[in-house]
Amino acid sequence: MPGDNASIIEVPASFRDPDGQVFIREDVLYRRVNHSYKENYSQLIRSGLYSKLSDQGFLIHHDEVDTSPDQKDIYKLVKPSKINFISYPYECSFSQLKDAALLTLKIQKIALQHGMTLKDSSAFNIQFANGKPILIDTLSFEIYKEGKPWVAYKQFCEHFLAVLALMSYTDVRLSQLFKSNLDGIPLDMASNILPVKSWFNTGILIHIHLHAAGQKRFSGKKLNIDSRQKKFSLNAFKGLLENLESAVLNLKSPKQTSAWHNYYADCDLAGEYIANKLKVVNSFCERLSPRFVWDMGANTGTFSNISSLKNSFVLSTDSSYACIDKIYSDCKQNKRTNNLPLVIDLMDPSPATGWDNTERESIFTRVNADLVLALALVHHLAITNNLPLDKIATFFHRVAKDLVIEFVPKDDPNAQKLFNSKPDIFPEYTQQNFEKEFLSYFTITEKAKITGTERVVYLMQRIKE
Amino acid sequence: LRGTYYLYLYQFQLNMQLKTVVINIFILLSTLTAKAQYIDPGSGSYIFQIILGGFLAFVFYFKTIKYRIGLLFKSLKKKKDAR
Repeated sequence: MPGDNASIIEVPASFRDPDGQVFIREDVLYRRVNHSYKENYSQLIRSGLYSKLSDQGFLIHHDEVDTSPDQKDIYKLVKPSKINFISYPYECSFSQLKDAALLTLKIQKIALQHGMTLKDSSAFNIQFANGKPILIDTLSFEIYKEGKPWVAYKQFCEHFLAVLALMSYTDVRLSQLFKSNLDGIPLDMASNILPVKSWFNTGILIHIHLHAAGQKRFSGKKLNIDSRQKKFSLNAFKGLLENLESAVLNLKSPKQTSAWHNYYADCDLAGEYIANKLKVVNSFCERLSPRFVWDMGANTGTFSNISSLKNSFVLSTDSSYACIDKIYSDCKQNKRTNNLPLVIDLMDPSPATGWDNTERESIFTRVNADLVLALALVHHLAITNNLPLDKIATFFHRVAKDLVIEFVPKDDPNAQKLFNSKPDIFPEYTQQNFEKEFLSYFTITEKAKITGTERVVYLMQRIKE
Repeated sequence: LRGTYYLYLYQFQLNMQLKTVVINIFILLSTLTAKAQYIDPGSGSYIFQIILGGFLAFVFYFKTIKYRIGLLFKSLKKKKDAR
C-alpha cells in the first residue's frame, strides 16, 4: 500500500499543513488527507469545485488511492499528477508571477461560487505545467463561512502584490527579496521601498501602503468595535477580489533593459552563425532522446525550441528577466507546452533554504537533467566571473549526463568585448586547456566548428565514476 | 445622447466614491480606538480587511449597478438599431 511506512520520504515543504502532508514512495508522490480535513474535502468534491477547477487546468488533477487497514489516521490518500519541475517564486519573471497572482484570484472567485474559500494563497503553491500556471495544493480550500474575511488576504498581498509592485515600480530584480523572505515581502518593507508615485495607484495605496499602516496600528491589539461591524459580507469579499484583481492587472511590465535579450539579434556574428549553430546543435541532440533538458544561459530560447527537443521537457534558465519574460510570452503565444523558462543566475543559484535548510530545495537538487546545453556560456563563466576551467568542468560533470557545450575563443569579437573593462589575466583560457580539463570528466563524442567563426560546439558524455 | 451623459456622470460619481473610500480609510485608521490585548500578529491585516470590507462592498454594489445600467443601454441601443 502506498501509505505504508516502509521507504517513505516525507516532502519537507509540506510540514506546515496539519490537514495533510506530501510524501514520496517508490518515486511516486502521494498526499495524505487527514480526518481534520474531512468536511472540507467532501465539500470540495461534492460541490463540483474540484472537477470544475481540474477540468479547466487550474487545479492539479489527482486520483484517490486505497489505504491499508492500519492507516486509520488517514481519511483519504490521493495521488496528484506529476509536475515536471517545481519552481519557486523568486525564479519567476514578472509576467509569470502576474499570471500566478491572477490565477489565485480566479480560483478564489470560482471557489466562492461553490461555497468555499482559499485558506492560503502562497506563491509556492502555483507551479507551471504545460506552459500554464496551476495550483498544486488541493488542500488549500475550506468551507466559506459568511461574515468571515479572506484569511489569505495578507498572504496574497505579501506573496504577490508587494513583489509585483516592487518589480513594476522600482526594479524587476527585487523579486529576489523573496529568497530571504520566504513568507512573503513584509508590507511595511514594501511600502518603504516603493516610490512616491505608487501612492497614486489606488490598488497599491489600499493594499500595500494603507494595509502596512493598518498592520502597524492594529497588530497585537483587539479592536474595540461592536461585533455587528466585524462582519465581512459576501459583497465585501467579492469587492475585495475585484479590487485586488484590478490592482494586479494595472501593474505594468517593468521596462527591462538587458544586455542579453537582443544578444542574437545584435550579435556581430548573427544570421549565418545562428543558422550554422542551429544545424550543429540539432544534429547533436537528434542522437540523444533526452527526457529532461536544461538549457543554461538560454537567452531568448532559440536553442530550447529546436525540433530535436520537441519531445523533451526543456528547462530554460537565464539571469536576465527580460530574456525569461520573452521566452514565457513566446511559449504562451505559440502554445509551446514543453518549455519552462526561469530566472536563474548560475553565479548565485537558488540555494537550499527555509526551515532546516530543507523546506525549499536548491536548484541542483530539483534538476535531474539528461542533457545540458551550455551555448555561448563558458567564456562568461571563465572571463566575466574569473572561474578556472577545472571548476567549470567539475560543475558540468555534476549536473550533466550528456553535454552540448560551446567554446568561444578569446579572439572572438564578442569575447573581446569582455576585455573592454578588464585586463587579460586568463592565459590558461585556450581551446587546448578547455579540452584537457573536460576530458578528465567527459568523453568528447563529437565536435564541430561553426562555419565563419572560430567557435566550436562539442557533444560530450559524462564518464561514469 | 442623454444616456451617454448619465453614464459619464455615473462614472464620475463612482471615481469620486472611490477617492472618498480612500480618504475614509485614512480617517478610520487614525481615529479607531484599540484595546491593548494580545492577538496573533496577523490580526492587523484581519482588522484592516474588516474596515476595508464595508467600503469595498459599497464600491462592488455600485459597480454591479453600473454594469447592469450599461447592459440596459446596450440592449436599448440594439433595439433602436434593429428598427
